[in-house]
Amino acid sequence: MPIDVVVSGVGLMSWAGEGPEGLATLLGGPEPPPDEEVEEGVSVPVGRIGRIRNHPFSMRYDRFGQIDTFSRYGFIATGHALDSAGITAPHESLVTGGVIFGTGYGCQEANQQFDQFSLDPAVGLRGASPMMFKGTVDNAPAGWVAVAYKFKGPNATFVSGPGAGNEAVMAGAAAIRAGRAPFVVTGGLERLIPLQIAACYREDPAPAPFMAEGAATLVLESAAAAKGRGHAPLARLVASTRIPAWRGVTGLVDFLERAGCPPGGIAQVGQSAPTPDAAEHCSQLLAGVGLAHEPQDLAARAGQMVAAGGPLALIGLTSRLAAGERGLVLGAGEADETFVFLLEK
Amino acid sequence: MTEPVPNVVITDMGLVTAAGTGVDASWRQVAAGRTCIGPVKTFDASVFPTAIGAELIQQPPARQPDDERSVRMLLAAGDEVAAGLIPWLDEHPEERDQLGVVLGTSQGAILGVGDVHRRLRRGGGQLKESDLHAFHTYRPGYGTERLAQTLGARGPRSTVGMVCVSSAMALIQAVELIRNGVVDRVVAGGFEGFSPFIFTGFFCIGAMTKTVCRPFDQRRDGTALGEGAALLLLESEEAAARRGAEPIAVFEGGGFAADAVHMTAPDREGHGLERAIRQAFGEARRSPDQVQYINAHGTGTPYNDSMECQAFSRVFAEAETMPPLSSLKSIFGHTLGAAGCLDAVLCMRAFQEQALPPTVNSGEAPEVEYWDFVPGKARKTAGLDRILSTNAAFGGNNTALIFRRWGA
Repeated sequence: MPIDVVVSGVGLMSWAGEGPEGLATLLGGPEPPPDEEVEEGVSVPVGRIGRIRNHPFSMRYDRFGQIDTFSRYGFIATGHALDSAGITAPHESLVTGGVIFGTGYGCQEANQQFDQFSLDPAVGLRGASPMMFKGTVDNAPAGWVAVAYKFKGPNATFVSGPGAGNEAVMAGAAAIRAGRAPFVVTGGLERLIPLQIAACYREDPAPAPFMAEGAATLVLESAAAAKGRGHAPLARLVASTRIPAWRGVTGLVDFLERAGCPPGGIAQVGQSAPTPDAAEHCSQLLAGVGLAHEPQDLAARAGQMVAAGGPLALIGLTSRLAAGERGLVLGAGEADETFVFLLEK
Repeated sequence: MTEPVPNVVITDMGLVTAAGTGVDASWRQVAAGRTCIGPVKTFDASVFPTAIGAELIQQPPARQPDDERSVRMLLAAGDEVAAGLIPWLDEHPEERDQLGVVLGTSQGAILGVGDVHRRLRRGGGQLKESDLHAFHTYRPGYGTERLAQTLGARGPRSTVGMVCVSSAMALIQAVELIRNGVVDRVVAGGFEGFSPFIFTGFFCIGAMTKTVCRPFDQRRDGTALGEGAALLLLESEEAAARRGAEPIAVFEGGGFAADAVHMTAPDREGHGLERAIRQAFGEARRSPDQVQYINAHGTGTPYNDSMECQAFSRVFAEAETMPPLSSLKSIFGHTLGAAGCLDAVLCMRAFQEQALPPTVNSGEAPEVEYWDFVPGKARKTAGLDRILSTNAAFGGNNTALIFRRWGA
């Protein structure tokens, strides 16, 4: 008997705020972040950046001070997602829960710091800090969440560029369907550093409307587990797939057919497209199956959150769907691959 | 109606280690029980009290100017793994659509960006084009992109960043892509270059040996680092048959689970690894008594080897005998992002040779009395049909893979 997967909770950490309030702000269209003329250390004018500065984190862990900033984003978004899912941890019955995250740039801030402070010949080995080294692995956020909440189930981290968050969501659903875990905290996260920002803004075209950092997480759960603890899910994840560029519209047509969902049954569409080319590709796919919807792209408000963008689009759609409605989310991956998710409220 | 899940087979392999380029070069070290670990030569390590590692001094040639060592090794391993596939793809170009690439790495092409980081701290200044190039190649997915381009792969690309289990996890993900019908075949594995960054990190957490790397020996005091690139070609059984490829082995099952105890130290009792192993057996629908050899992570650190033995002890309690087990770390060093697939490649070769890889430098004081850690040289055996391979990583990640010899 196939295992049905539902979205039990969602969480957010963004420049516009964290948790439900942060999400409401983003959905409402926040004031754009201020311009940054010159980045610290790299004299490059970059314009607006959705950065999380001096944020009073809603701390809920006694080792929070040990956690690097990148991991904190995932940690905070996870806390909100678990609250939203009604999962209170740590609890012995929850130990088989999993954590699967995706990130495009990963732990580059900690790596830069380790390079700067631990590998300076003038300082020698005195600057080599085990505490700092903990943050120099891309799986640090998933590790910290597992340690803090005692989630001993599947744990993984994808670093496949902008599609990594989507990949994490798919892997989370797959882990539940394979019976590896009753629920998985999944999603994407990014922490920006000046070098990365400068490099991205040197590219043509520059990220539009602006780059942003943060985390967007979802708690996926088996429908039976959610029902068993009396929790009303936010949506059902009907199906998902990844469509390589060469398959194009045929891939989307096949997906909808296999999911038993004619295009006419789609009420809402969301997308995560970090470049104009990716947005154009999504538009072609939608037009190819006869969907005339204007997709909601939260990047217009939240900024391009790289690997967190896909999960944010899923959160956006989850909040917009009316009861009984179905919605589609398209997310860009590497080499023009498209991740597709079909949700039902 | 549920569609049948494809059987996933392994049809080819590629390997670059400190022993050289090609599986043969590495297997010669394994067969002879010879270590590649020696004094560090690729950077000035005089500041460290002990500086040993397994480095590949004669690097494969660069394909592009400024190709970093990890990328050179990766592409050389790519040549070997795809040597039989590429001519067939040239005749059947449409099949490139069905080829994916899934890689794992811990730090990727890290060498170029370190100097940029340090210069920025000293006062910044204008970014140079070379800085941006260094940053571009340092993206975690860069190696995957380069290998996919080299192979002409048009299927999905994916990169896993899970330190020492990265490439084992990449194999699990590759199998998922094939089983779910996304693609027919995937080149999967991992790569890691020797770098001052990783060396310093391992030193500062106290994981490096002050003597020699001796896994599963009571005298062990730490690991030694290595470098390399390891790749497997995984295909659905039907896809392998379509091109007339003879499989080496079947991927029967994989498991992954977290310790949820500490960020850089393992669960002292190995419960996370035990969960991963039991998952793998469950997926394979096999029992421990059907395994003839365990290729363990065996870093040579006190905690890792102890926790692995405890996990094996519990899992194999239900088997009549404990199978022989060994670690390759004392030959090739710990290759981090490449380690899981390096182990898997040499497990494939072990099937072909019907020989058990040894644990070099160990044997006088075994971690568990009466267990066979295969000391000395590789040992010829018969009936080596199924292997369990395990890995563990920072962040509390554990993986377990089960392979069956083709035809067994």
